[in-house]
Amino acid sequence: MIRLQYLFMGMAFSLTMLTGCLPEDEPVTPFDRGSVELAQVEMDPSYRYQVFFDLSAGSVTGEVDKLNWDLRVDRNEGFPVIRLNSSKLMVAARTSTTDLASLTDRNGLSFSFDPSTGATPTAISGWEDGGVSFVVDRGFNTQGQLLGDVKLQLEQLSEDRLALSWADLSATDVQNLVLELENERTYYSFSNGGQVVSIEPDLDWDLIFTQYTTGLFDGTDTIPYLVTGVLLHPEGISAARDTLYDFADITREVAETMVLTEISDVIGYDWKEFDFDQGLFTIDEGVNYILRDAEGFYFKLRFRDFYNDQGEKGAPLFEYQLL
Amino acid sequence: MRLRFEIGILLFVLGVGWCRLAAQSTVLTVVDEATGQSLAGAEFRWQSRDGKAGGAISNSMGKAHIRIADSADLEVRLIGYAPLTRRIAPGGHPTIFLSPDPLSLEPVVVTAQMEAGTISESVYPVKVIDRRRIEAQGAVNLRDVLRQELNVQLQQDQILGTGLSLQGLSGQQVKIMVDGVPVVGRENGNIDLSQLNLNQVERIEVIEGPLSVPFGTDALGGTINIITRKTATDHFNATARSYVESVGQFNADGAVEAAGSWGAIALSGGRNFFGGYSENESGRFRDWKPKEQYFGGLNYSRNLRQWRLKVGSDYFQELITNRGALRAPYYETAFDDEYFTQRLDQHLHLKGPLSGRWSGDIVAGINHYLREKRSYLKDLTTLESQLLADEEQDTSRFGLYMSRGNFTRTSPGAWSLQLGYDAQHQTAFGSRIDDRSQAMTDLAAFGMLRYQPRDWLKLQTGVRGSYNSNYSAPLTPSFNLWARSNSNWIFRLAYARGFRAPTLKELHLFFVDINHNIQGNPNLRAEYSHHGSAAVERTWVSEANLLRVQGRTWYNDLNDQISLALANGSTNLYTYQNVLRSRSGGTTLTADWKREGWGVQLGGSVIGQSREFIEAGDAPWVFSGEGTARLNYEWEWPGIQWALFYKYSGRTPQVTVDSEGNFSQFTLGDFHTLDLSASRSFLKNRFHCTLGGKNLLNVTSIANPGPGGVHSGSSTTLPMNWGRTVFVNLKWNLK
Repeated sequence: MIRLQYLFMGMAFSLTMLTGCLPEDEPVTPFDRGSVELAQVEMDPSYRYQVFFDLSAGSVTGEVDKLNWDLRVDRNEGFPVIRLNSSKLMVAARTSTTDLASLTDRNGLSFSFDPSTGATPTAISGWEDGGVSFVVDRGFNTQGQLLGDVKLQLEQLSEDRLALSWADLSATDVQNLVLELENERTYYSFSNGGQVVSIEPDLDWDLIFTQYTTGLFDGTDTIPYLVTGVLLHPEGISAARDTLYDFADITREVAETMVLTEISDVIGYDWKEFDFDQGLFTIDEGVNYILRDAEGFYFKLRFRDFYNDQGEKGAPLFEYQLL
Repeated sequence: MRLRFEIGILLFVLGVGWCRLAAQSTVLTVVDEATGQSLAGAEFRWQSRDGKAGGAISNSMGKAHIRIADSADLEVRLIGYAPLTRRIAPGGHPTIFLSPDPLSLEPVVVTAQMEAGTISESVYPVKVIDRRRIEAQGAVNLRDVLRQELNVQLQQDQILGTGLSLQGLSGQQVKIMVDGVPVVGRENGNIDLSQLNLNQVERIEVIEGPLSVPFGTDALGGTINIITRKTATDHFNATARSYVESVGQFNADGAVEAAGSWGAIALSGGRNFFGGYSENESGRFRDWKPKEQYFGGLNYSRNLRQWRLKVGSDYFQELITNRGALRAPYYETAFDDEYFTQRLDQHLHLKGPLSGRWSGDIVAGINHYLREKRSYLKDLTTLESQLLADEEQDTSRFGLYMSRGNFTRTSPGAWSLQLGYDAQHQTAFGSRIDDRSQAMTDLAAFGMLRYQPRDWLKLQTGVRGSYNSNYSAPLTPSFNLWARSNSNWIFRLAYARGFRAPTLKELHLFFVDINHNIQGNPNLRAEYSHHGSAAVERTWVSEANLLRVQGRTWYNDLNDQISLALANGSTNLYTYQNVLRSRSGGTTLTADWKREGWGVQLGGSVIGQSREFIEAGDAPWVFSGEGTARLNYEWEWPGIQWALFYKYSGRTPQVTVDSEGNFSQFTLGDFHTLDLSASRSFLKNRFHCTLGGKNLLNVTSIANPGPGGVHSGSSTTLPMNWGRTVFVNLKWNLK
């Protein structure tokens, strides 16, 4: 009987000692990263189009005529942020008057442009106290023709609502506008009497290929200058510029050591240069970009060409690969 | 160096204990008068005619060895049996027959008592959770057993473990001790109750209200003293236990004891394993983290003339594995954490008579606590782990060197006196401790005076004064009254002050990085409380029934409570400051009915709490309610003991104060806890089996609209348990 007890005890002990172990992890199948992909977007030789590209999908998810809109209002904690369509070289000036009807010319005004980094303050800012008027220069069309000036006055604002009145600069019949900021970004055009327009594609996007305004130091002042390049999505995506690694040597481990930034124009325009001797754009082969999209996927990207098969400019050709 | 010093102490004590004694060995055997079955766990206390005294506990064969040189008066007590007193002669082998008395339910308590006595004779309201209940509950650790206790609320943090509130005061205001030695290693103010295993525990004594006079810091909300098993006094005894719970708990432990004229030695050890639990167990992340514990102990005890010596060392280690979820978007890697805890506790107990009517009780302990956090990035495609940067790792160590002695003079007359000392030296080491290492010394003297002019009246007062190397320690008084009427009503009144010393962390924390600027405050004062309570108790005894009804109401006013508060807005510096005041009060009513084979206990309480910034004042009171029910039934024919445990924890309003003094109030949801078990012994008590179900109502979490725990985030639910489970507990007793 005693032996039976020992046997029983030993069995139960063994059971509890041996069964109670934390199971080892099962290895997971590595994520399929695919191979290096090649893509080309067409902005038109006149750079008329703004092209949205999604790296995960590997495709263009939208395209818009840059003349279709003037203002972009970003919903923001506290107060909305108003941005100009910098692809048209738009600028704006703050005035000292609160009487919008009496504001009919741009004499004596100092115009500024939005930072190409995506930072604030923007050209239309400092209006939180209300009643402040601005003159907005709508920039140029693709033929270099002026699109005219409008004047506007902010009247009421909240986190998701913006009320203003605006008119052509020379006009006295002011119209009122109320923007309900239902989306993260709301686009507005002063054309055809003013209207909210749909610009961004419904699908996700990471990069926008577009013209945009940046500051160029001319030796005396920083002046607004129109360039053609790539801007980041304003939320979630970050990138870094690399000139140390060969494109083939960039792995995810390398990417994870890079300091990524959400500065909008971190890719920018200077991955290409204009060769005045040849009268052509050439690609800087030593420049790579590391990107991390909103989902957390890492990509490497480099540009290969700025011309399409027909030799038309405004068609960036680039390689990218999921890391 | 330190280890060698400690080993030296142990060897010294062991060496002293080796001396031979001159008295004759007397073997006592205690049996059930009705069944003739030998009885384990009976407590013998003897006093011989030559003035010497001592004690012993019967082993599993009902035997105990004592050494007396002259005839002695022997008192025998065992729960469930009528106490018996008789005279014995040296050198004999008397058999003592105890009469079963199911109405005799007066466990002996020792915590903070001038001399061991029954619960009803104690001036303090003491609750005793005995071994039988621990086993009926299938309780593995202190968390398991306290979850069914009235006036105790548990809080679960999946990394820091289980904390508690007692009488509405939080766990950092509750002293937890093992055989009178404080448990070190508080995380976020709490001792993790699930690290206190009960495999070698005889009973748990819970005293609500301050005991700061004898025990010093922390003992202001209450004191929980875990009393370990006494070593058997026969020649050899071995026990083994195996516990399996369907959630994935697999525990095994065992103990070997041997005894002779040279003393008694006990070696115990075991392993507890918990595989983790989540309501949704897909993936590798678990809400309740997998946990593996190893523990062991070596204890030696012997009689040194009339003194009882016990020395021992206990080791515990725990590894909590927090496997992170696979990281989006690749689902290839995960951040894993390991939390490794190590406890090494060494203790010495010496108890016996001094000259005249004085007796002494000395406790000494050296406790070490280590906690390491190791963080990894694991690549699940290769199964390789990479240790993260140093900033992600953390190690903290705490040490306690303590000794406390009570010297008590009891007499047949009205006056009794206890004088005592309490010396502690604490150390803290860690990367987040200023200068990486800090220490604190506390030296205290206390005295208690009891006046008992009649059998029915006791007046007791005490005071403690202390010196502390780091802060100004308060003078702490206490007053207790105990009275029993002719009709067997017992009244207790108490007023006491309690205090909690600022911890080394609160004094010397240095946690400054890009996200934090939290620093300790060396100018902190001790928290202090006023406590008042009144209790009444009545026992009705008839031929077959016993009914005991107890009512108690209490009030705590805790001032200078330490909390993190913003000290400098421009640098975002947070420090610990004496800025809060907490008050709690409540009323508890319990009824305990017993008759042969049956036991029913019902209890209910209402607890009110208020918490405020001292400068702001006027915080609202919030109230919550609890109810418990326990049912025991001994089914005589198959010999099965049924036990049912139920607790209702009512909706609990919570008041939080943020560092800027803003109050927020929210209410935790109510929940029910129900456990059921059946136990039976086989093979002449050599094999004992308990089968049961825990959390039968399958409560896993409760609504929590407020802020979460340290590692819970702002969850809308608070984890409470791991769902309905069944368990089996097998215990062998080999002789």
